[in-house]
Order: sequence, then C-alpha cells, then structure tokens
Amino acid sequence: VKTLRDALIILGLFIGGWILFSYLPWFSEEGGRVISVEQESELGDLLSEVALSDYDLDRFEGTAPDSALERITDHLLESYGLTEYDYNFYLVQEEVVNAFALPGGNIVVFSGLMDFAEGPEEVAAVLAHEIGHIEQAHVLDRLMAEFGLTILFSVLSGGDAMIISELVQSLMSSSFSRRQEAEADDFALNLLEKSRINPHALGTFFRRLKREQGDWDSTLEPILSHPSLNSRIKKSLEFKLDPNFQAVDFKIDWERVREQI
Amino acid sequence: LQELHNTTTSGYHPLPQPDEIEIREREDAMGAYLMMFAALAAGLPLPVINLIAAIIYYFVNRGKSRFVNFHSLQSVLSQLPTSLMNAVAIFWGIRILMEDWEFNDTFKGYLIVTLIANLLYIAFSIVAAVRARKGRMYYFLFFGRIAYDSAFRIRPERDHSNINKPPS
Repeated sequence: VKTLRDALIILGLFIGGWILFSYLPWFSEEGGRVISVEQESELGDLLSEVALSDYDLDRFEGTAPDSALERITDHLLESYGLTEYDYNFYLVQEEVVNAFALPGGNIVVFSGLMDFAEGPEEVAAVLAHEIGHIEQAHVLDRLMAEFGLTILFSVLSGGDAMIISELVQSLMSSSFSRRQEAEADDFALNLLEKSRINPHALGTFFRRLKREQGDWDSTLEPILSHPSLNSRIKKSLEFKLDPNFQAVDFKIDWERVREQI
Repeated sequence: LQELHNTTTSGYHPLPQPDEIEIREREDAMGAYLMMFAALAAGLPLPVINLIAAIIYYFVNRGKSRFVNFHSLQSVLSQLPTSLMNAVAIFWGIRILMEDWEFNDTFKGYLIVTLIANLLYIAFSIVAAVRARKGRMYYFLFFGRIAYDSAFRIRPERDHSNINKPPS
C-alpha cells in the first residue's frame, strides 16, 4: 500500500510540475508594451525613410502597380476594422520577391512580389501576413530582442543615422521566430477570409515561390528557426472556408499591372 | 541474535549493520550509483545506453551480497523514469526541429520538469553513494521499498543457502 502511495506521489509531482511549468508565463516573447504606439510610429517613420534612401529604393508612385496595391491594401484594412496603426505601404522598384514590415505600420513591398503574384489575391495574402506581424507587435519585439530598449529610445530621441541603418538592416535580413511566423499566418488566413479573399492564395503563393526559387532554404529550415514552408502551405490550403464564402472581385487588370513593372 | 532479527522483520532477511559490511561490498554498492553518471554522460544522445549499463551492473553484482543487490537495484530502478523522460524530451525535440512540431509551452514545461527530475536524480544518487560507502541503507521514495523487497525478502524457493546437506 505504501509503495502504491509513493508511486502516486512521484506521478503526481511529475504531472503537477508539468502542468505548472506549462502554464506559467515563461520567457514569453511579448512582454509588456514599453514603447507606445505613437513612439513605434515615430520609429517606423525614421526607419522607412532610411530604408528607402539607404537602399536607393525608387518608389512607384502614380502608376498602375501602385494604384493596384493601394486598392488591395485599402480593402484589407477596411475589412480589418479598427487599428492603432496608421498604415503606409511603399511599393519600390526591386526584382526580389519580398515584402517586409517596419515598425508602426510601415510595409515595404518589392515590385518583384507584384510581378511574381498571379493576381491581387496573392499580394493581399502576403500583405495580410505582414500586417499580422505589425498588429501582433512582432516587429517591435524583434528590435527589442536584438537591440534592447536603450537603443530604441536613443533613436527616438534623435539617434544617429548609423544606428537607424543598423536597425533597418536587421529587419531586412534576420527572420521572425517560428512562432511569430505561425501567428502571422493565422492572422493572415483569418483576415483574408474576413476580406472575402480566398485564404488559399497564401498557400498557392508560397508553393510557387518554393517551386521556382528552389529548395535551398528549406534544407536549412530545421536549423534556422524558420517554420517549414511545407507546413505553412498545407495549413493555408487546408483552411476551412465558410460554406457561404464569396470571393471579392478586385477588378484589377493584373496583366497590365505586371507589364508596368 | 539471528533469531531475534528474523522475528522482528518477519519475512525479510536481517539488515546488515555497517560494521558487518566489508569495504569491498560498500564500494560495489557505491559504484552502482557512480557508474550511472559515467554511463549517463556516455549515453547522452541515446538514453538507452546507460540503462543497459545499469542493468548489466545489477546482474553482475547482485549475487555479491544483499546489501550490494539492494543498492544496485535501487540505482537501476530510480533511473528508469529520468531515462524515459530524457528519451521523450530528445525525440520530441527532434520532431520539433525536423518535422516542424510546435515549440510550445507544453514542451517548455516538460523540459523544465525533466531538468528538475535529472537534478533530483543526481542529487539523491550522490547522497545514496555516500551512504552506501559508509555501509548504510538509503531508501529512495518508492524505489527504495521495491529494491528492499527484492533484495531482502525471504524466498524459500530461491534460497540456496542450504542446498548442501549431510548424507542421509
């Protein structure tokens, strides 16, 4: 009887400990919000200015691709509803298929992305993902983790251009954590459905990107903390749509948009 | 005196007292715990290896005396849970790395519990090794009872002490 009691004590300690440590808010990536939205926006303005000038990124203003992008983003933000951020989308001339988020609702979209996308839906999918990173404060968390609060505050109180370039460089090169990517994907899928855009567009876009850009980075994925593209594609393609789902028509002549890139 | 012992702990062999245990036995008993650390380090990627080492040690040494039998069995048994936990942690970790399982709070919690279990196991093993060297018994929670029962219970069917009999 005592042996049984002892066994139950050990088992209880194990299960109790497991539950306790699983639910304790450990090294959670969010932390408290120490930088206000206003400060983040200010930081974002500084960073996007430097990003555009440092990398000699020419903006596409007043062209068909730019107005197409505006139409897509307006639609997304309208469906999203209230947000604390004032979003700015910069479409720049650059062949690479990429888009990245800067703090405070600034998103830089490379023209290569517009060219690679097969329709406005795919662009919307990628942008919804980037909006997810901003809304969930991933961008700020990454800067905080990499540079710390002191540096971010020094930048806000008039930091030098070197440090700002450094911040931009880091946002452009390093990647989000596996968890943050998954969260941004979930955010994107839900926002897309809400915007009446088929969420499968995210999956089809990633799938084509993977096929055409080769697998060179997916072999490294287990080592880098990047979620495997495969599972992200799968998740998007398996997203269960509401039976009454009706896709929105952007009424954008995509071929014409691509021609101008 | 022997009779007295037998009646007080009915059904069990009398416990040897420190002055009755030879140095050799004490060292074998201590070795049961210390050997585990070497095997644990060697078998780190595959926790099965130290388990195999422990089981071999137990079978080689259990015949030496009941005292050695008890300590080496307690050592084997007490490392079963930690080995199992480590193995699960490693395979779970591999799944996260290779097959994109989620690195979630459940896994973090599990890792912490596993770490604590390993530390407890090491701490208690060191205490037990020191006690064994001094010729003392030391009972772990749960495993101590099982090992004591296995080593000291009188089992007539396995008792070979009076196999040799005078001519009839």
